[in-house]
Amino acid sequence: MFVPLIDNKCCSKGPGVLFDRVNLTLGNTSILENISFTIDPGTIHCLIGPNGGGKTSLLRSLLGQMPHTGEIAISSPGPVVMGYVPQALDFDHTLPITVDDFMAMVCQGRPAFTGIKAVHRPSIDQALSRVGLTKKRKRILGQLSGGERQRLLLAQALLPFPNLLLMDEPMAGLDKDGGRMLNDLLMELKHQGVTIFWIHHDLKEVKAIADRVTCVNKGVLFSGQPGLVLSSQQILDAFSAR
Amino acid sequence: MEQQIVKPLSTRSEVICLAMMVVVVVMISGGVIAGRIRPNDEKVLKPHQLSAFRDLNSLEQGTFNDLYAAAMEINELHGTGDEEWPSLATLEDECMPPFVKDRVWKKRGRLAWEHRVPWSGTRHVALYLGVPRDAGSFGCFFLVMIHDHAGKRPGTETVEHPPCEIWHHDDVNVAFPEIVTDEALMVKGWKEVVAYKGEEEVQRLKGDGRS
Amino acid sequence: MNSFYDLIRIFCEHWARVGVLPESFQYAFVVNSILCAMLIGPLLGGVGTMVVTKHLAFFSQAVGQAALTGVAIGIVLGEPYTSPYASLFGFCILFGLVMNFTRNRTKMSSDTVIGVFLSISLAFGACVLLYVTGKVNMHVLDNILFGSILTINDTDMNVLLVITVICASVGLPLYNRMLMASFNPSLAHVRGIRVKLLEYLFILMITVITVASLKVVGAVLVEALFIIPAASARNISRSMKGFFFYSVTFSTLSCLVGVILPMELSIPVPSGGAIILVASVFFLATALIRMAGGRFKDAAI
Repeated sequence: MFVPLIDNKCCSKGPGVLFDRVNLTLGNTSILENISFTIDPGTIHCLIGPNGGGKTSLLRSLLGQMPHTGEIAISSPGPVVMGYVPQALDFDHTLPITVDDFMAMVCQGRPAFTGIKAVHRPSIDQALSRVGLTKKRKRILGQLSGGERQRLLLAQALLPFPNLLLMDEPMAGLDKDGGRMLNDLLMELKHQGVTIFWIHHDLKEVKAIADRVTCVNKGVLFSGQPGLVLSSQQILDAFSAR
Repeated sequence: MEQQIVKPLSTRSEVICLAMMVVVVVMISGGVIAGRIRPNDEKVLKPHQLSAFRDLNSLEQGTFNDLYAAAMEINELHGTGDEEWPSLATLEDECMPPFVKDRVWKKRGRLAWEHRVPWSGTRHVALYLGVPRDAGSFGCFFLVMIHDHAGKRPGTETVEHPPCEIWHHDDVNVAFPEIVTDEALMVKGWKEVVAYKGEEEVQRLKGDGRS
Repeated sequence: MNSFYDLIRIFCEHWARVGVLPESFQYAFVVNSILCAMLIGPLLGGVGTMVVTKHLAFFSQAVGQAALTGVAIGIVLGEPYTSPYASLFGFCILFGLVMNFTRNRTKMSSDTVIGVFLSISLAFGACVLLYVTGKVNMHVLDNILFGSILTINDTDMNVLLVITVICASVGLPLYNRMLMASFNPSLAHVRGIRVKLLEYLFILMITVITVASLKVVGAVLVEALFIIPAASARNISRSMKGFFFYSVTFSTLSCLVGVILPMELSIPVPSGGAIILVASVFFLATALIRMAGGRFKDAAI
């Protein structure tokens, strides 16, 4: 079914997410302690923090891939359609899988080696065009640059069209054009009511785009509007705290 | 407004499913294996019979095998009844074991053979008794050849009695049997020796015998 | 099905007598082995693409070796030694499942876990085999290790056919999901793919295919037929389509040529060895093409 990327239903908002006293322990190591904050529907919410602070673990807890305790609740007026952009795509670079093959693999039930099904072609074409990969669709994944692979991950996250988009450092490897493309895409998605939760390091961009920001380093250090909470002192404390 | 709680990752279901799968596989495999195991296809021996493979020692087995082969030859020599039963001298001249007195004969207890052809009407019967002269773990062998020629028309042979039987007795002083019915021999302590054939071994190994 | 096989054998015998087919096709065992090759070739070629993608080559090797232990156990328990399928399937499936479970739970590297299990299986098999030698001629086990097309019967072909149909009907619809799960399990999970279940299912598939292929290729070499055609295809493919279909083609041709050629040239080699040698020729050829051909070149580092 053709799913327009730009769709006029800009008023229906995506789900909201509540983290309520979430803890995560792996082995003897405490990864997250007493995490509580909310992601408002239809907003862009950024997660920042120092390396090893538990950001990816928190994101994966939301995906149900961690043995967390506490509650993570997703509230939505309708069914939740989740899109996820992982940090990296780990694969054997010598495998002869093209961009088209990859998109066929994620979108359709028919085996990817039979090619893209006609019914999925328009939406795949649009997604690839949106992330600027149309000219690279016959390229093998191993021959793409890191940034191009990131764009590909973004493209797959848009099919089916999500109302909750989760991204783990999507800017990694993207050049200036790529960064601009992503920013435009995020604003477009926000305009369509998609709730976006993403891990990011560039505080300047966070300030520019995000509606709310939460800083995590095992526990929540601060959470609120970027303009208010992202003062120099707080950032310094957050990234030097252990 | 729908609310869904994100379930934390749990490996419990993996453990349970795997355990169930193991049980299912073991049960199915066990059931199929139990169904495919064939009961031992070796013949069930009657009390008056003994197995050539299991119950005779190696020297006696040798004598039995030779006697079995000789019985076939004797059967052929006798033919349709026009021929006489071969005498011991004939069999020795033909160098037919176990009748020929060679080194093997000496090793196997130096059996002294006696041959009788009792008259029994239309049934041709020949008896060959071998008694060991050497002391040791050798028993006596008694070859019974029976051909029933009554009412035979060519192509319609119905032999009620197998053409030959080989009997064994542990007592070397046993007398030459006068009556050679199964019951009479059994009463005197003779035991019929039953051969273990190649087809039976193949069936035992291969199960249903169809490879 | 058996009458269908008989029909094919009758046709082949007739065509061989009139000279359309090679003379060796007059023999039932030759036709049987060709039929098996035509099933195994596409199956192993297709599944091999997944084995290579998921880096499970060593795993399939371990399952192949476990087959020897499975046969020994079957003989001990009283199964017919020419077709101890119940113990073979049972032991190999248990072996594969438990090995995968251990790999998941201990977080040890794959090759360590597989190496440990392989060693345990072989050691256990060696002990049981000593007992088994009292019951059967040890040369029976050569057939398990290296394949024996001479002993292929209708039962073996039926088993192979059933497994091919099952694997194709399960594997083809799940192909994309299995592939996705090997790329990024986290992403696959978000897309609604049951990663763990598919992993176990794939292990099960490799195991049953390995067991079904024993008589044609042999336990030691069946893993090679998973890997070599797919590796050859990888050398010259530029897309999934090429990867899959080249792999299937190379695998099928290897099986057919490996079965027919030794018979035609009267070379007394086990079928498994011949098939793998033919597959290796394809691999060498494609490797040379890759090295020489500009469009296949990648950066060295």
